[in-house]
Amino acid sequence: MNPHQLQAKTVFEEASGLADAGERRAYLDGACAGDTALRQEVESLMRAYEGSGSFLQTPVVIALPQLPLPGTGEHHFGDYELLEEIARGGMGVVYKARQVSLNRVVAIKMILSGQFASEDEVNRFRSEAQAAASLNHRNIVEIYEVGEHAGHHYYSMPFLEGRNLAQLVESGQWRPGDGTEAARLVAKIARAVQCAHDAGIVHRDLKPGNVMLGPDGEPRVTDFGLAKRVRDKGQLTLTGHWMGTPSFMAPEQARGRSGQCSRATDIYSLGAVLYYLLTGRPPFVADSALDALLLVLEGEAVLPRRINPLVSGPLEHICLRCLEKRPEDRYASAGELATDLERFLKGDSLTVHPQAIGRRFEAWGRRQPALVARFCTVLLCLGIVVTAYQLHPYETPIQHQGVILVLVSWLVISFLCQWGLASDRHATWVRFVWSGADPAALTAILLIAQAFSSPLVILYPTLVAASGFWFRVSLVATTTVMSLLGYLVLLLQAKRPHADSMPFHWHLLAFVAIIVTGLTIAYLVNRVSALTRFYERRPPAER
Amino acid sequence: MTTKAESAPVAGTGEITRLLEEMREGDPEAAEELLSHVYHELRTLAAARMAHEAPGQTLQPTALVHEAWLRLGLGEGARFPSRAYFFAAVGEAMRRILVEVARRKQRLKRGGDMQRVELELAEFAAPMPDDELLAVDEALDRLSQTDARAAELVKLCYFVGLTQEQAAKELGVSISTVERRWAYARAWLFREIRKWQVAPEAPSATRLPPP
Repeated sequence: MNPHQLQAKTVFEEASGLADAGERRAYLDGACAGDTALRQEVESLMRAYEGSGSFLQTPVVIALPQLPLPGTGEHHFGDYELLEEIARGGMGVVYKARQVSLNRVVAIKMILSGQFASEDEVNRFRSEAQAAASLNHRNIVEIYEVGEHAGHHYYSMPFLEGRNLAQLVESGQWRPGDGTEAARLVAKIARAVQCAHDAGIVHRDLKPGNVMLGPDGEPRVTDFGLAKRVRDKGQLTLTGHWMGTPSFMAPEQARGRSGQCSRATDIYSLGAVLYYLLTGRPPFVADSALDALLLVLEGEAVLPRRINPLVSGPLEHICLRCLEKRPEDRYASAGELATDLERFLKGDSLTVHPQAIGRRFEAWGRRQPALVARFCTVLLCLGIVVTAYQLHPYETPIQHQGVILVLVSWLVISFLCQWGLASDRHATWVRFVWSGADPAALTAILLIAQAFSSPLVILYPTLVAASGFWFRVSLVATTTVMSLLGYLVLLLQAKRPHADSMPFHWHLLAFVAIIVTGLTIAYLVNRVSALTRFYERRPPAER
Repeated sequence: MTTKAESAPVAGTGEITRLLEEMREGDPEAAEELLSHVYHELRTLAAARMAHEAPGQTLQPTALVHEAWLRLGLGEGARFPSRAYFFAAVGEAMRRILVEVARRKQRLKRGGDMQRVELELAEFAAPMPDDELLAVDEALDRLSQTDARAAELVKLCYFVGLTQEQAAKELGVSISTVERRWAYARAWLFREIRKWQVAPEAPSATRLPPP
């Protein structure tokens, strides 16, 4: 606030306290005393003040939307008498109700008005609900009626005793055991899903919360084809940890291409449900929604047997086959999955074979990307170095053996580092060691091979660029500094025996190139982490 | 059945206390972080009210603030300035929620095919038309640049719904100071939004081609 504004404010505030117009004018005459600019400013504020009426006088409110609620006198909702509220969320309310005309107890799911963006969506919801209502399978919760009353869309279904699988597992009453019971349940669910697929209906949102387990031990799938039609944005959990994460979503779905959602998506989710029942946790768990998403897209689930050693090999194969990233690698149909689970239960051999070597290697690469990248690089380098030496020995035998020794020790160090990463306590410094070891190994090789004045120094910026995958600025910095040191060592070594022919400023440029690469990568890493933090802080409704 | 209303607090006790500490030490990032917690908290509380109270009712955000304060683990102990920071965050959060709602409504209106306006958890409503609310929002930004304390007071009285007495207590100033500051803020904002509503319209009308 500049002095002029401050003065105007002070005079205005004083004047506004004076109720009498004459008194006020007298005060202004005195206070402004010939300062016309000030006088004008105060009078303009004064006019605004007098004309403002009720402006800002009534504070904002929070209006609670109207929904019929039991216990408030509005017991009736069309043909239904509302008995009790079962659940409530952002998308609507589920009541236990009695259908008066048929005198039966039902669950009625009422959708909050405003859940649909357009008439078009309402129509789509209704036609899908009607399609789902035509499903008739003992393991699918049937839909009795779809309709609209008093502006609320709703559908009704049988009222089921029992709990859903998520509640069961969370309550700690579920015993995974050797997975036989899980296999039995998922086989039944898969048969039900196949039945729906035959009718052209895809569930899109299979998860433990959508499977009810009745007192008779029969699983029943709810919300067929409907769950994702209704934008379920009001997940009331704020930890963002569980419900907001794409834990049971197939990669193609998590990528947001809903057009690609197909039967294969449901098969993935069936596998995720099986995984959940075998291990008590979803396939991918991470601290943040973004990390969980990355895991779904790129990561590999921890083998179920690592978590629950009682699970048998074949059952693990079945589970992992459903969780394949590429839809075409999964079971071709839910029926095939059910068949394999049934064969497993009977002790027959499976139709699915253990993963091929190539696929296993890919899975290893997903689980330990840093190690596998180095493993492949070192193997490739070894191949080239050895072949080149056989064809045309450029180095002395000692040099050659030295290079091979360094490459092999680099590999050994990488394996040790990967092993160290698994421990929570040491992971931090192991990462530093690892990101420093790469440029050190490169320096050693270049030293032994006397390859200073060769194009191989380009490998330094390459290593710096690759260090970006740690997503930590400090590690990028470590690699950059180690690269610079390595280059410096090479420079000093080369100077000693015979005068270096290259002009000095070339080295300077090489230094700058390494530093610029480091800064670029650090900047990108910083940007990605800022975005990550931003998204984690957004309210769930905006995600 | 499949939907589940959970209401775990956003952050641990220590978290909010730490943020308030950091704000006292003048860390601007802490304010932003506190705001994001309060924002979530208000939405949850409003949704929880929707679940437990009679529908069709309206309440002022003030009714939620004390609850939010307790739920965020701040207890009875903390006083000025921590509470003032907290109220400021609530005011700012309410303002953002309202502006969001108003923008969305306008987008839908421009879309044309939409009559029912989105209703989310509970409806946060301002007692003025959306255009005006958005204009106030912009003017408030400008006011906070020239007179941050006046802007703060607007958030407390208008967006949180504190009375002038309550605001005076929370801000630790006298009631007469609040009254004068409030008069100035209202006059300033009113003049500002009229200036922006009236001034740019006149020339654009003359530029319109004849029908």
